[in-house]
Amino acid sequence: MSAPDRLWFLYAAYSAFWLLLAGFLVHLGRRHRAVDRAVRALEARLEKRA
Amino acid sequence: MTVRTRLAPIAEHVLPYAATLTMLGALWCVFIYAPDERMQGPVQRIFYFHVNCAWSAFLGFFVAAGASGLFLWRGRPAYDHLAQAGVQVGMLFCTMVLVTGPIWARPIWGTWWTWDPRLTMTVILWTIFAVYLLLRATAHDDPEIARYGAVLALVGVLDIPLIMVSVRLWRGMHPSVISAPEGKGGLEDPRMITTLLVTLAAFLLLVAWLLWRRYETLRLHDEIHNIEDRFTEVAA
Amino acid sequence: MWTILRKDLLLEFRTREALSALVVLMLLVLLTFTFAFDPAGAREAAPAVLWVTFIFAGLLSVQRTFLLERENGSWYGLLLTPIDRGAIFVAKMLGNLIVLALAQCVLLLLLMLFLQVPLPAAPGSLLIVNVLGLVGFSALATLFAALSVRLRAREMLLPLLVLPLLVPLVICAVEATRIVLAGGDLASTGPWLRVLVTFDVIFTVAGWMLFEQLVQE
Repeated sequence: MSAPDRLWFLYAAYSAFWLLLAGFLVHLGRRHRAVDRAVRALEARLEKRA
Repeated sequence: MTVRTRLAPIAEHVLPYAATLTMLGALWCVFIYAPDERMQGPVQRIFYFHVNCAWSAFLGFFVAAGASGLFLWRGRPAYDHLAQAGVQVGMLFCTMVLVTGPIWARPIWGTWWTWDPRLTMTVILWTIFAVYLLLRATAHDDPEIARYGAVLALVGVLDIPLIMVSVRLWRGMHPSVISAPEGKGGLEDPRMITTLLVTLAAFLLLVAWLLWRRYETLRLHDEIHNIEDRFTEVAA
Repeated sequence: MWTILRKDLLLEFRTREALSALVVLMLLVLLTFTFAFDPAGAREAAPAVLWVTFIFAGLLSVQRTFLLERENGSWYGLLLTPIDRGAIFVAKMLGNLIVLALAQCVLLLLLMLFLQVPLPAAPGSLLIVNVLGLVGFSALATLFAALSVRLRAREMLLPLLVLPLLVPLVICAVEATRIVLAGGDLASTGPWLRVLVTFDVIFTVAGWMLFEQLVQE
């Protein structure tokens, strides 16, 4: 296999790595926002009672 | 809790920046500093991240098993959160190993997949902990699920040495068509070793930060649940 | 512990429910395999056929271990008795082991009949390999049957939980059986047998220790 062909594999591997990591970070961010929303819902309930 | 509060400022304000900086350094090392490997050419540069992904996956799973053991022993929910974070981070890196492995194997071994002992073991590990995530997802409302998950994580990690030995023996029985050139491990240049060490540091920091983020979200989620329960109690 | 074992076995032999269903299921899986393979080539695959048949039929049988107790409410009675939870595990595991061993004897006979596998030169070795495989399987399957019994998706989850963990056992049991069926003696299965024994010891002990965690309620 020629050198440029092989370089393609190198870039593919590193792109896959960063894509997966980005996917996981998006997943983390979503969970974080869900928790955030829950906190704000709790605050709203507290204010209603007060 | 005291351990958490002491770790929190470091994890929040130091870890993400340290991880990003070392990761940039690692990328510089991998693509510019490290020389081309004689036999494999530039593709060998996949190795630095691939191997570190494998180590990180193991680290995640061992953290999960340790935390599971502590959870069964002490029963504190914090350990369960750490165990879940460990499995999720471990699964992330295990998936990365399974994706980057074939991409490296294709130009070097000429095939996307071989039943190389290490590849085989990674697949089995991946399935074990995929089932863990499945179990937690299907029965997340079961009050006993934390203990069930902990038992599975412990048994899964106990299984690792057995899988290693049997898979190695099995490959010995069925010699592969491709005589695997041991591309891994043959680091003939000291700059390669430096690169591997810098990448290792970057991955350790990344794993620590991801674990921390996941742990914190799980903890907050749990605390919110407790507060909601108390609300409904007061209302009733 | 012996009382639980005796009760389970008595129940089993009175009704012969599980055992007969298990044997018929094994026969059917075996037949399916023979049709799927060319019968001549099937002899080569005999060890694999033996263990795959056993594991799939065995999982269905082990699934019932704790189901009966839950259905008729005797589970809480069992938990209230002042015995070690580990002992309950060992009793349940031995009960499964005995039922599975009887079924496995029939399966071996059927295998020899249908696939024309000749009786090995050392039938004792075949027996030992099978017993070792069965012990490990019973330990893991019993532990995870206790785990999955409370869950909604238990029929689906038990195989998912157990199959990946069983990989070392499957590899070693199949290879050891292959060697023994080809006329080898016990010594020639050395490394496989060692892994099997380790597997049995680790997961029997792990089951005995971890079972307690699954039945606290």
